[in-house]
Amino acid sequence: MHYTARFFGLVGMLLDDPPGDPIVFELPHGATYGDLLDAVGERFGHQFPPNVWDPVTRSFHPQVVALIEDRSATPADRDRTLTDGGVAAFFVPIAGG
Amino acid sequence: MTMYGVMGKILWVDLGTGTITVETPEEQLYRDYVGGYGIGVRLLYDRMPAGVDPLGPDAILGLTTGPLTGTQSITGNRFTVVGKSPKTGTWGDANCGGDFGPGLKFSGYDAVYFTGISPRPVYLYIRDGKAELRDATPYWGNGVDVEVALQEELGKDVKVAWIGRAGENMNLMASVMNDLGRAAARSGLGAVMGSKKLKAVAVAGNQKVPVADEEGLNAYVTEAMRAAREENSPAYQLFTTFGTSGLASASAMNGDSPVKNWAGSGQVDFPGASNVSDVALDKYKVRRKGCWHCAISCGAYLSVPDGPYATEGEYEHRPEYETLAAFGSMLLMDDTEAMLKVNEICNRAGMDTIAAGTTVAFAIECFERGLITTQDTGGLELTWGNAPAIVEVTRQMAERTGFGAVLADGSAKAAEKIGKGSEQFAINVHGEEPGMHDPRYSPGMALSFHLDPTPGRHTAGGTGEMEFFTGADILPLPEPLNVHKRDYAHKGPAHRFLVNDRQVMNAAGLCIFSAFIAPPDALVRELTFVTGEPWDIGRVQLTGERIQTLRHAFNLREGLNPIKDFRVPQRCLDGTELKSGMGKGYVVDLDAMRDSYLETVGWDKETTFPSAEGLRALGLEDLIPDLYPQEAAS
Repeated sequence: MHYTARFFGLVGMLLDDPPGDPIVFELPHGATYGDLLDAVGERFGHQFPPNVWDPVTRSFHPQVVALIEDRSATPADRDRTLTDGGVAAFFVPIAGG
Repeated sequence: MTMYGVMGKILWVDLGTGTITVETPEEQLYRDYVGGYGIGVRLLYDRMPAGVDPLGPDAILGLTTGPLTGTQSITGNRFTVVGKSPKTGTWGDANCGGDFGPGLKFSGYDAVYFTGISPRPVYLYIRDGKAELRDATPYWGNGVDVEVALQEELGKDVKVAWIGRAGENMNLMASVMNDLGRAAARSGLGAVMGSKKLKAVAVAGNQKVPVADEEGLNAYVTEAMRAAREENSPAYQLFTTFGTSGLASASAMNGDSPVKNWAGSGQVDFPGASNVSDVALDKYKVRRKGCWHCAISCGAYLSVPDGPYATEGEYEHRPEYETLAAFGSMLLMDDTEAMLKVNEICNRAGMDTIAAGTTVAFAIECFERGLITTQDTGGLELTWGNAPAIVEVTRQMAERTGFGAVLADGSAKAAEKIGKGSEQFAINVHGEEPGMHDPRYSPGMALSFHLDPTPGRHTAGGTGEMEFFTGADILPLPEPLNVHKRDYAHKGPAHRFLVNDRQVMNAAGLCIFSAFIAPPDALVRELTFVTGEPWDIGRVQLTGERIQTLRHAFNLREGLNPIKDFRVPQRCLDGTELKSGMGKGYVVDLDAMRDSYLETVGWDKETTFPSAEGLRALGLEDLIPDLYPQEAAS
């Protein structure tokens, strides 16, 4: 199935595509959030800033917020099933100004 | 006995008579109210009666600092402007970084308060304790240029707080500015400064802020910032790389930013969000620019070298997140250079970008719906994303000319002038346009918009900030405060804890970004090192609640009840029509959140009056005769 991920600001600043641009992943039908993280790590793990992505645990730093289909996701949600055509967003939030 | 962290003196300037006097406050005032707007609200409550015209001679305007301002504390550089807001008729305050706050303390004063109205434009010049009023007629009409001119005239060490054309014109969205374009933006207090014909306050001096344990403070701060740098947390790197602009495109997509005058969805309506965010803005960066002694330094100077939106001066401050949302996602404007131009216009004129952008959004929606036409707008095609028209109408607002004169006082006043049912598209809370954080994403923000004494406020602490900063469903607080963000009926205790903490942080003179970078105990540790007083969480909570209650009581004495008067527009609460974002499908139950908070702090659920018992517990028993005259009489 097709699944879109968007890496904003700091998370996506070293990727070839501009930060925030939609990047499509091919995942097996019934894939989970954990499967998406594995695919993200395989494709971009070496391009994320080192303080953002942990290649050992295949997860983002706790300050990186993950939204899966408009709902927040934590490392404990790796088994959450994704929807074909869904969108994930990864960003470091700050506020104000 | 030496008081630490403060200069121990405040200045009073009667602009009507030109009289300048020095007051030496009791030490207890500093202990009970810390500084900044804590002491500010105490003094204004006592010395400015209810019903005062905020633009009249009896209105008091204060520029204040806290005990951590001008010390080595992490982000210890804020000053706060206080007064009665002409925009809302409520308590008003706005704080700001830059270099003016430390400069005021080094000149010898913790604060300066103004009364009366000067017969001609003046500025106040303070150098090493000596203060005098000087003619500002040559500078009237200037924007940021007045800061440069006064530095050339008085010395490069002079720090200047000033108003631009918006303040001079008494636009109700006018800000007080400093440091070449940093804004104490909210509450319209630049208009109060303009009403007093006070163009600027220029300060200089070499007086040192006494610190009780300087060695301890320096060691603590050095270690905290070493940890931040070496551990290189993503938040620290984001701040130092992009500042708050690093969030703009993500927020437009995830539902934190309001879109299309609070009626749109970022993923659907604003695909060009990345054009007015992080990397796109970075292409124009000249250099980083931090506030005074800030170890985070989240700011930057940008420049557009040529073209229709070329930078007027050498460079301008990078737009902050709030500006990028108010003029970006709110208006669907994704033209990078036009964004930098509206930011420049607002900074040079001294105009609150949240209020200005939201008011332009209102105007665009009125235009798109046919409530106004090019005959009303002087030919401007006010359509979504139309950058040239947006830039032009912003310029007109600052100058109060053309159609901009209709908009210059904000969306509520503009709706009164336009009529035709347009008020339903004017998104404000009691006249103040809310901060750019959507309560459907972070529900606690609605409670801050609704109950903070400066309505529509996004920097008032509370659960909303924690919700959008963490993105978490469960608030990362110790039990029993760790409630789900949509457990509306049980959020009161967490909201109270976070609001009280923020009151002290603001009053102390810290930037809220310290809370994102510094260790959690920074406020308590730094207050203890600097003042020599024993600070702990309990004292922070008690003091914070005292300040918040007094700010609230200021409004109660004005006859206001936030339940009836500070209504949050339904557009900000109802996510059932949203097509994307974290708020999609939710309806925020503001009533339940409010009841939970009011019950927690012991305020009446209908009138919001604090109980007499609660006032006594906070050391505010002197308010009882105002709020409960019958009880006081008996």
